[in-house]
Amino acid sequence: MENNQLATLISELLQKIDRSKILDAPEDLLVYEYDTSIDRAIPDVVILPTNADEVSHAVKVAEIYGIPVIPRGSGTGFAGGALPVKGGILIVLTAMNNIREIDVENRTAIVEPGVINLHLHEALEPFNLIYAPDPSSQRICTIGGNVGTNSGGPHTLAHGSTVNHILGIEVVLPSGRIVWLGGKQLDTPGIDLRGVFVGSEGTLGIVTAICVNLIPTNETIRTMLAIFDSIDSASEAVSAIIRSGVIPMAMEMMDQETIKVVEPRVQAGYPVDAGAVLLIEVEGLSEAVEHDSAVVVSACNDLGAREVRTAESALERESLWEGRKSAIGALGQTAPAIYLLDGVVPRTKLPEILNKVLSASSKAGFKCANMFHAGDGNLHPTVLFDPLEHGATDRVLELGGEIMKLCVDAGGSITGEHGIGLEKRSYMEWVFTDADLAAMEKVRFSFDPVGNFNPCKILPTGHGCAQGHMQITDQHFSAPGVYV
Amino acid sequence: MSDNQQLPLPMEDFIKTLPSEICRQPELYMIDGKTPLSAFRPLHIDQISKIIQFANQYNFAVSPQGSRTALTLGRKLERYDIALDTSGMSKLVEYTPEDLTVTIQAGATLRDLQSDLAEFGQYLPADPSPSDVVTIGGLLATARSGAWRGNVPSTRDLILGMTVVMADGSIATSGGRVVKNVSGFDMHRLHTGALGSLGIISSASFKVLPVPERNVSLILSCSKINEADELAFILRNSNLPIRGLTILDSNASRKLGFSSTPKVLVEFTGIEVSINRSIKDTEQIMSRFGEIDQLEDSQIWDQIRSLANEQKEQIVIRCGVQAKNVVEVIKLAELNTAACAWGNLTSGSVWVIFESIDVTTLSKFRSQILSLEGFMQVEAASMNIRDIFNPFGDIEIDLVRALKNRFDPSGILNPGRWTVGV
Repeated sequence: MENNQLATLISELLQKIDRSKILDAPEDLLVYEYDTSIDRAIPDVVILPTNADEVSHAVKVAEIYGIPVIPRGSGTGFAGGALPVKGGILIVLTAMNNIREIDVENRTAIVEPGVINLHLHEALEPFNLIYAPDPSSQRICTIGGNVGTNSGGPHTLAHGSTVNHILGIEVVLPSGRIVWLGGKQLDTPGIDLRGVFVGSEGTLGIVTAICVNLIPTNETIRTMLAIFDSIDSASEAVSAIIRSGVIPMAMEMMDQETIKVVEPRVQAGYPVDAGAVLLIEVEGLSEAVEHDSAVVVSACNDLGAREVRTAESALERESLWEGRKSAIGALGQTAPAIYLLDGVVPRTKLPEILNKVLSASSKAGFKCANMFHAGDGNLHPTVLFDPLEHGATDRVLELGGEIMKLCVDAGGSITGEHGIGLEKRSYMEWVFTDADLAAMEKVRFSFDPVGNFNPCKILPTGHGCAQGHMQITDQHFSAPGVYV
Repeated sequence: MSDNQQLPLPMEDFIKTLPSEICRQPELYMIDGKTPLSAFRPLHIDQISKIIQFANQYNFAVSPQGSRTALTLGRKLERYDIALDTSGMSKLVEYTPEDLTVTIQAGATLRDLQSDLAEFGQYLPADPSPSDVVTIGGLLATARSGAWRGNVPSTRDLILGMTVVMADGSIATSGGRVVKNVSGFDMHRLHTGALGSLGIISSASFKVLPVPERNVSLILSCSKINEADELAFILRNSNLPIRGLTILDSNASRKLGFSSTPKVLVEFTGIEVSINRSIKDTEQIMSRFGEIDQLEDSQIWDQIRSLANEQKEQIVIRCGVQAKNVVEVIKLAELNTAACAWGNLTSGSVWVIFESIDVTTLSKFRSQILSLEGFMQVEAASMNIRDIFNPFGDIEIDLVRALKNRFDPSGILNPGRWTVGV
C-alpha cells in the first residue's frame, strides 16, 4: 500500500480506534509477518482492538478501501491461516482477553477471543468444570483461534473438537454488522450458522465473543503410560482397546525419536530406549475407572507392552502430560527448524501409514519424529531440517505433500485439527471435487461476497492468490530460525 | 402421476426417461392438503441428481421426504410440484467397526442403522422424536434430539461427512470418513437442521460408539415441580453416568401411565458396578424426596418421544433455555394451559404439547421464553397456525437468505419452509 493511502487509512481507523491500538511502523509489523508455519507475509497495518465496535469499524474501513481483513490470535497456527498474504488490516485479538462470565449452574462461560485456552481451564478449576478442547499449544493459543481452526487436542477422542463445545459466537460480519450466531443452549432454531462458522479460519467473519459449553470434571482420572518396543505393537494396542468397548479420554503416542528428545529436557519418565509409548487416560466413576484401566492394561500386555505404569499422584500425571505437551518445543530445540504436519488416517491403518511416513522421510534425507493422537488416527509427523541447507525447505515441503497424499490414499484427511490455511489449500483438490469446492465457495460468498476476509485461505482458488505456498516461501527464507 | 391432473409437458416427457419403478403415486405424498404433480423414489444418487437438475431447469419445486414424520415442521410450502421420497436409498455404504465409523444412505431409517451397528455392539446415540422410524436424512435435516443430548455425544457432534445433491443437480461431499477432520467448510453442519432447503442429503458418515454394557431407568416421584427441579440438579451434579435426565410435569407423568405428580426420569448407562453404584447413590438422594421405581426396560423413553407425534391433532412446541430455566418453562407452559410438558435438563430443551391454543397465547408464550434468553420453535401444528405464526421466531434471516440465494437461486428446494422465499 502506498504511504499516502496508508496515512488516509489510518486516519479513518483513528475515528473510532485509539492510536495506541494501531501499529504501522515496519519494525512493529515485522512481529506479525509469521505464524507457526513456514511462510511469511507482512500486513499493511495491525490493530489491537479491545471491543467488537472497534473490530466492526476496522472492517468497515477495510471494505471502503477494498483491502483484506485477517484475524489473528496468538499466531500458533501451523497452516499459515493468520498470514496476510495480500496485505491489509491484521486484526490481532489478543487484547480482547476477558473471561466475561462463568455461569456454574448452567455450565457455560462467555469469553473474549483473545483468552488463552489454559487461562480458561485454570479459571474453571475451582468450580470443577472443564472446557474440553485442550490443544497441545493450550498454554499460548487463544480460544478465538481455536474457534477459527476448530482445534482439537488429546481429549478430542472422547469429547470431540471445538465445534462440539461452542454454544454461541458474537461475530463481526464482512459488512461490519455484529451478530450472535447460536445462543446459550446446545441447539438453536434455524440453519446452524454457528456450526459452519467454527473452523472457517476467519474467512466468514471475526469472532468477538464466545459462549462455550462446560462439562463437569470426573470423579476419578487415571493416567497410564504403556511402554512398547515398537510403534506397530503400540498401534495394535490402540485398536485392541477400542475393540474392547472402552473409549479412553485420550490415547497419545510418541515414537522413539520423540522420546529421545523429550525425556532429557522434561524428565517425564519416558524410557529413552522404548520404541514407542502410549499415554492413556480413563475417567469416570471410580468403579468404572478400575474396570477400564484393567481392560487397557490387559490389552497393552497382550500386545507385548514392556510395562504399563500408572500415575500415582496428580504431580506424576502432570509430568506425563508435560512430556507430551512439551514435545514440539523440545523437538524445536534440536534442529534449526521443524515442519509439523497434521494428517488423519482410519485408526486401523495407523501402523501401515506410520511406516510409510518414516520410510518417505528417510528417503528424502530427513529425521522425522512422531507424537500424535493415536486414538483418533491423527498423525503429527514432525520433520527436522535446516532451512539454510540449499534446497532443504523445498524438499521438506515436497515430503509434507507426499505424507499428506499417503493420508488421503488411506481414506483419511489432510488435517485433523490445524486447518487448511494457506499451507494446504493446494491439497484440497486431492480430497474434494470441483463440485465439493464450489459448494464451499457458496458458503464463503454468502458471508463475504467480495472475498476480502482472509483471502487465499482454505479454498484452492482465489483472485490474485498463488497456487500453493511454495511460490510464496521462496522469497522469505533468507535467515536462520526455528519456526516453532 | 395423478390421473386427474394434467401434467406440464416437460414433466410428462421427463417421466418417460425414468425407470418406471421409481415413479410413485403423487396422492401418497400429500403435504398440507396439497398433492404434488409427480412423486419419485430414486434408488441411486444419480437419479436424485437427474430429477433435481430437471426440476431446476423447469423451476419445479421439490420437497424431499423420508419417513414423513416432520412434514409440519416449518411454514407451509409455497410451492410443491415434486415429492422426492428418499426411502429407496437405504444401503449401508461402509461400516468399519474397528474405526467406529459408518457411512449410510439417507433413506435408511435410524432403526435400520442401529440394527446394523448392534451386530458389532455399537450404536449412534440419537433419540429423536417421534421415534427411530425417522430416516437418517430426516434425522439430520430436522436436527431433532432427545434426552441424550448433552449427556452423550449426539448426531450433531458425531457427524463426520455428508454427500448432498445440490439444487443444480451437482453432487457435493464434505468432511470425510475419519473421526477427526477440519478440511474445508463443514458443509454437513450447514445441512444439519436446514430442513432440506439447501440441498438433498444423500448419505452421511458418523462416528459411532460402543453400546453401554447395561442401562437402567429410574422414575423418581416428587410432590412439586420445584422439587423435581432440585432433584434433577442434584443428579446432574452427581458425576453419575447419566444418559437421560428428564423432568416430567404432572400431566406428562399421567399420560405416561404414572401418578399425577411431577417426576424425574433418569437413565444410567455403563458397566454393572457403575449401574449398581448409581442406583445406590440415587436411593440415598431420594431419601429426602419421594418414591423411587426401577423400570423393567427403557421403553419409557420411546413413549416420551412419541408424545410429540405430529399425526395427532396437537401443537408440539420445543423450547430451548439454559438448565436453570427448564422448570420455569414447564411452569409457564402449565399457566398457558399446555396439555403436558417435559424438559431435558442437560440440553435445556423443553417439549410442550397443547391440545389447542390460539395464536395470541402462543405469541405470549414465545415472548415469555425470549425473556428467559431462550427460543421457541413449533415442531408440529396445523397449517392454519403455521400460516400465521412464525414457527421459528427470529432467526438470522439475512444470512439464511444469502445462503439460500447462493445454494438454491431458483428456490426449488422446500420453498418457503423457513420464511417467505426461503
